[in-house]
Amino acid sequence: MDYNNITVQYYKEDDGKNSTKSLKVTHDGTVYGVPISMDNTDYVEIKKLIDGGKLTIKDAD
Amino acid sequence: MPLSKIQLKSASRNLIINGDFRIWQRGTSHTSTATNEYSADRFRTEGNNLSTTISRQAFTTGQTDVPNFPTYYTRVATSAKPSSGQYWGLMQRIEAPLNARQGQTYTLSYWVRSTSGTVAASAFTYGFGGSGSARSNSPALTTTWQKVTNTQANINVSGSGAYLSVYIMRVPDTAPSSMSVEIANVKVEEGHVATDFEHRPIGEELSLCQRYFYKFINTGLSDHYNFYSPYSPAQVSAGLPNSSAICPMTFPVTMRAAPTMATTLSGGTLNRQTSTPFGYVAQMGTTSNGTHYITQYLANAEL
Repeated sequence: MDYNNITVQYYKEDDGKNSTKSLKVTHDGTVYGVPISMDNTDYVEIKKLIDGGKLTIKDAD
Repeated sequence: MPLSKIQLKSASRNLIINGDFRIWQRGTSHTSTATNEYSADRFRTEGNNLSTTISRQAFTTGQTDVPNFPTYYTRVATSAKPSSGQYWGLMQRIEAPLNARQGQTYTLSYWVRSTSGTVAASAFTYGFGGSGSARSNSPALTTTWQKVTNTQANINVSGSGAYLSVYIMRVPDTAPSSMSVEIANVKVEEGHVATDFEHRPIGEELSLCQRYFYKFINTGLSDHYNFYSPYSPAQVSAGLPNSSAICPMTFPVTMRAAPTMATTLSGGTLNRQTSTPFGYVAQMGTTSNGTHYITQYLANAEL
């Protein structure tokens, strides 16, 4: 996954709030479910971009 | 007796997974101009984007050029060289500290040859990552198989965190503009001695691979995953229709971490994909009765 070319959005929980369990990541037309876990290497890379201000997570819709 | 003559036998001695290239869940040929991609299970590319084809090749039955009767080897064909100051690597990450330990001595060994003609010496290096590691220059390669080894004492895994990097090929910017190299029986073991390669039972090897990656493909027969409707008692408050549905799946082995999921459907869209090391739940907001939606899913918990 080319992390510099992704969009990230929260999944929607049953109560309508942003999921705290996983993210909806879209890259090159493919949708990935990325768990919000520091053991997952995709999430670690995405978090680096978010913390660095290079990426934002959209709210669930 | 010289140390090189001592034969140590243990089924679990090899820290490399899929070192005999039997498991290719993603497909047996991988063409790429990118990095951080996988071909044979557990083997990944790293560094500069390089045009490569990595494929599985079969030994002639009964051959003895590479000992212990391996079934397959891998061919790495490059059609470019890395940009100035860059490198490209074919490597495997060994989980640390569970399988590779700080300060230990490890030895890498494998068999290598050129596909045709010769490949000049130092076309690539091989060995371990981490500060202080001394990788070896590749020897001149011909179409005759030869065994290469690299030993690293006092290994440093702390720099890379959760893994020890093992480079099978680390190609510098001074490499030939193209080359085709073949590799078999990759092994990493504790100590200074490169012992003979030993094949694990195929079921054990597959399970080791599936700790990091699992690919499910629906054959269209009776292995459908069924969605159950509705997917939550909270569906009304969330405004979900009665046709919302949930589909829980269990992985064949416990994975290293909650994996990244990529699911292919025959139609419709997923509302959520939620994974744990043990399994996965797909949820759809709208489904049709009697329809099986999941045609494939990939669970990726690589290092």
